[in-house]
Amino acid sequence: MNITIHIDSEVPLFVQCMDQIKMAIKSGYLKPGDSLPSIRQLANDLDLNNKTVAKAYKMLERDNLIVSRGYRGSFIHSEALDNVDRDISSDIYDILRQSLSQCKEMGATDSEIRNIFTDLMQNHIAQNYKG
Amino acid sequence: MLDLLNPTLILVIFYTVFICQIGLLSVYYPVRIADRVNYVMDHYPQSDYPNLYPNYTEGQEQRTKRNMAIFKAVNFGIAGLGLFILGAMIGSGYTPDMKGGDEIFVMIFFMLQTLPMIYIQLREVKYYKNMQKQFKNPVRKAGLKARKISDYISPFALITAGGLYLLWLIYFLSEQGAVTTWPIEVFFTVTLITGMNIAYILYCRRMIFGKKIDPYKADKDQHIMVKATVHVMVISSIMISVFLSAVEFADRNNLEVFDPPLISFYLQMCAVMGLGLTLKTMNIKDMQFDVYKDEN
Repeated sequence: MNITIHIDSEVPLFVQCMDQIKMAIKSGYLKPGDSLPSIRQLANDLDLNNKTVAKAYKMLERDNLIVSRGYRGSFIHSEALDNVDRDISSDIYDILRQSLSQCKEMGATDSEIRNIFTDLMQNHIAQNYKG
Repeated sequence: MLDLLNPTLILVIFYTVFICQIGLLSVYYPVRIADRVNYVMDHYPQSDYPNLYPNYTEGQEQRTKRNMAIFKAVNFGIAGLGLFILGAMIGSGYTPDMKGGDEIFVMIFFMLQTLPMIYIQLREVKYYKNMQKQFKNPVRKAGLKARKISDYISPFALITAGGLYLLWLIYFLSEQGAVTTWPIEVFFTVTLITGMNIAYILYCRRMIFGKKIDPYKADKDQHIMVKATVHVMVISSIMISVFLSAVEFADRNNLEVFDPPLISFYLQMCAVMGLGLTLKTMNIKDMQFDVYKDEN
């Protein structure tokens, strides 16, 4: 099975990579324990930047679809098939919508919520990515 | 019993091996290379396969064919020179130096023979650079299987290459005494051969995992080409270890007189295993040329 990337597409390149690896898992082409091409191999084959493929792999790892085993490379997660339809973005959307409703019930204004959220994000970025 | 150090026998061996070197490197392979290029020109013209002709200019096929004819003529000229040298050696009653040393002339002639090939190689590098510049495909494809070195060569061959390198190293250093007493040539030889093996490994790695040299090449052809390259590298490594061990053995047993035919034979084997194997594996008639058609 081949992965196909459309350079001119509006869909970000790393998302195209992720989606097609997910499709390969769904279709059964990639099974738990199968090894994936190295970041360098896939980036060279697709003539993409290594960082683009690395980002796709990082997101897939976050979603428990692949596991990285250091120098041995990346492999399909043992529970990849169960996790493949899970959409973290949708989960985040639900959680934030609930929190927003609670804030509104407490009488918070839109600008208060926006300012606090921006402040939280800035603190998070400063703590996690300083230096 | 056969006297190995009989000057007539040594000369017969040397002349036979040298004639083979002339025939193989200045006639057989140049003809095969030129025929291969001409075959592509005749069967896959620019009008149907534009991607095969980066930076195309009017009359390029004719110019390339003319260059191939010059390439063949230069090689035939070198073959003629080789035969003349051989004739002069026979005519002058040449006798081999029992202490060796004449191998330098074999190597100089070999370098002369490789000059036209090096020129062709340099042109090829430029050709692929132009092809990569021209390649602007908005749709890119890649397989989802991890490539491994064992997809291209058997572990046995790899272990043999590594083992023979170690055996040569041990044999070569066994009579050199303490490290502090080693002459500079010993360090130079060890560094050169180790560096060459490391360069082979890096080149194989680049071929397996790196970008395609020819961006249009079909996956199947790419696999065959990489496989051939890896085989050539591993066989070269094996051959250099065997050759150096043989030369070391000859030096230790007063058989240096065999150095010239030994070197000539080794260089021919390099050509057969390198160029010959590549030409055989990458059979032009089996290659997929549709990828060079213009899809727009």
